[in-house]
Amino acid sequence: MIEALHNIIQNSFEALFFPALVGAAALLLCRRKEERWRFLLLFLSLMFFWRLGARIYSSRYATGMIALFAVFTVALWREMESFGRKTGGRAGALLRLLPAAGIVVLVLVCLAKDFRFDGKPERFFRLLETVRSARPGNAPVLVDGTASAPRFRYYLPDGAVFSLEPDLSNLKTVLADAILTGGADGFCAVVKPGNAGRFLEEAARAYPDLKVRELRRDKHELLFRMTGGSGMLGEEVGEIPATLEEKAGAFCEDFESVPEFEVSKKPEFLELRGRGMEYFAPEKVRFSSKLVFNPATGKRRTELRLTGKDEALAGERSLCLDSDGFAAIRAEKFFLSPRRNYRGEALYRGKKGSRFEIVLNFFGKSHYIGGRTVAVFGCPEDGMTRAAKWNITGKDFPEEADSALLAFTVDRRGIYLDNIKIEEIDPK
Amino acid sequence: MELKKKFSAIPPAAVLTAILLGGFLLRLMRRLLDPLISRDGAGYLEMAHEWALTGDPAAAWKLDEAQNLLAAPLFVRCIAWLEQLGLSPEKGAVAFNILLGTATVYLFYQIGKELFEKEKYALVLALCVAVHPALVRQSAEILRENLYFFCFSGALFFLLRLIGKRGGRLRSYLPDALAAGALAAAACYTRMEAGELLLALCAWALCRTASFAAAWKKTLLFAASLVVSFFLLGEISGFPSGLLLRLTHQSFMSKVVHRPERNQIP
Repeated sequence: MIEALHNIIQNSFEALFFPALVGAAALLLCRRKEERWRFLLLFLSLMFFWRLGARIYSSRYATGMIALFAVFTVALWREMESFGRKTGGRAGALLRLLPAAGIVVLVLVCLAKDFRFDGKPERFFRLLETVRSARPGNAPVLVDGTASAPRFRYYLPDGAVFSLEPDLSNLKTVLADAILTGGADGFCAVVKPGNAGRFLEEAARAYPDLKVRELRRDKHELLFRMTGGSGMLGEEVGEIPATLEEKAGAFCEDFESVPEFEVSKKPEFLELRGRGMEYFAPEKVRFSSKLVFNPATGKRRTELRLTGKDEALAGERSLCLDSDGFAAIRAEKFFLSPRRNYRGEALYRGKKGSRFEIVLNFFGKSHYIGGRTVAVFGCPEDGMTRAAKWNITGKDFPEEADSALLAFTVDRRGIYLDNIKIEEIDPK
Repeated sequence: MELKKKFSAIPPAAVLTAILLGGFLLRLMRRLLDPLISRDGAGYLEMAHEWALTGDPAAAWKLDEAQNLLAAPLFVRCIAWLEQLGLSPEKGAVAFNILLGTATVYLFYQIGKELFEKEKYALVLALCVAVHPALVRQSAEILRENLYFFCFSGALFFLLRLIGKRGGRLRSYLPDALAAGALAAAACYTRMEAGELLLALCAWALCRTASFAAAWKKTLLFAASLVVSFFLLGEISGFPSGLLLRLTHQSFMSKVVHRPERNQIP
């Protein structure tokens, strides 16, 4: 309900109009007995509570309410003017002047917002160019997982655009040039040849009876589940928080010697191009060392931070992965050579019920192959520091893997990590 | 005081013209600066094209991946009409929306005149609607909400006139009730939430202070007009099954198969 209310205020009324609406409604309720105002007040209540109860978080769902907000904003001005005239004196003059000034401010704010753009068109057309470049001179085959298939079809009239959701079960045989994932207008990853066909085969095999509605509702989660737990696409998108370590210049398993730094701008996504991926981030997303936006989980927030001594598991600092969706850390140091044996250990702590996974991500020569969960560790009780130990054997690596990357993922509540160690062991 | 007098001397018609022109230019500029078609907009264009080409609404709905337009086809039908008239669907739809958005500003001026005793309030109301970011955005894009908002506001205007009418004669209520019902039906064909107008009127009739009979006469007239207009509009827009199709939404959709030929691999 809070989310619905927030959405109504944020998206439909513009925040400034909301107090005017409430104020006018309250005043009118006390003062105006006229039938038309009575109708409008009833209508307002009906619409408002209907939308709160409906739990539809589309801003456009509240469109009709804009009519009432406008009427009630002006009504508040009239009521205050009329009240000011009756009061007289300086207080009266102030009461008459204040709402008029408020309306002027409101109009100015509206005008400013009318021309505030979020850079979507530039991002979209850049993305389109990337898709076109996937098969230069030929029409590209695109699989869209961002519910934007009609739009891509419109702008790529000569290409073939498949929607991941309704077409998924028919995509086994499609060899796509590009797949788009992530938020529809936010982050998108373009996966170039090699990856695409394989991904679709896996998805179709894992989910032969996909239901469109389910997919739509829980798209991101499904993308994770598609590769059998570890989440191929999700994992890739989840790489973004890792730039925190990259920005810091070094990743330290014990987190003690991470230098202080300020991450005030978004990570440099183009560096990932070499792996056949591109990310298009909206300009307005701010990254900081405190809060890392995880595009894989839409609007959900993910926090990746270094703790102070009071929270640390060992030493001065630990790493905290906190998420109401999905978060992952990975670092260059966790790149493993395939078909060798490794032993790993770490300290962890979390709230009761929280858990994290150790996931191995496999890469071919130029593309991502898939992932495998090595181990899952849970927290049976609050606040107890535990040791996690896991082994990776050569058999865990697929034949075609050229390298593998170890990632730590958390999909529920906070997990503290420290003293992560990975060492190669003798097969005997 | 001088300034106030100078402002008062400007004829309201001139102020209104300036607001309408400003609203129109705002929407036009927004479109020119942000030409990207929205995700939904591209879907509407695709469906409208199919509808215009085949004349068959079922063919259009096969393309409706979100499956939410079955019950609200009027906007798609309007774009299809524009295409059948020989206009470019994209430009036609944008022009249609911008003009409709500007007309909505005028509608709100009329609502203001109906509700407030002074014209300045009506003008400020029109100004608020002319510059409201969400409305400007909707008008500049290919979105059905703009048509919905126009129809909804029109219905609201006529309803307010209907409620304000005194005297118990049925004939005096008829024009406003018919207009409100027709516009509410059109709004329902664009977004289903417009049905709230009828519920709100019923709630008002229950809580009215005026005559019980007059209030219910108005409510029933509006309801009758809404239902009749709904069926008529369904017929006109090439959506013959109207309400029945809405009620059998699921069984209809189960027969719809997404066309594989849409995606020929080059």
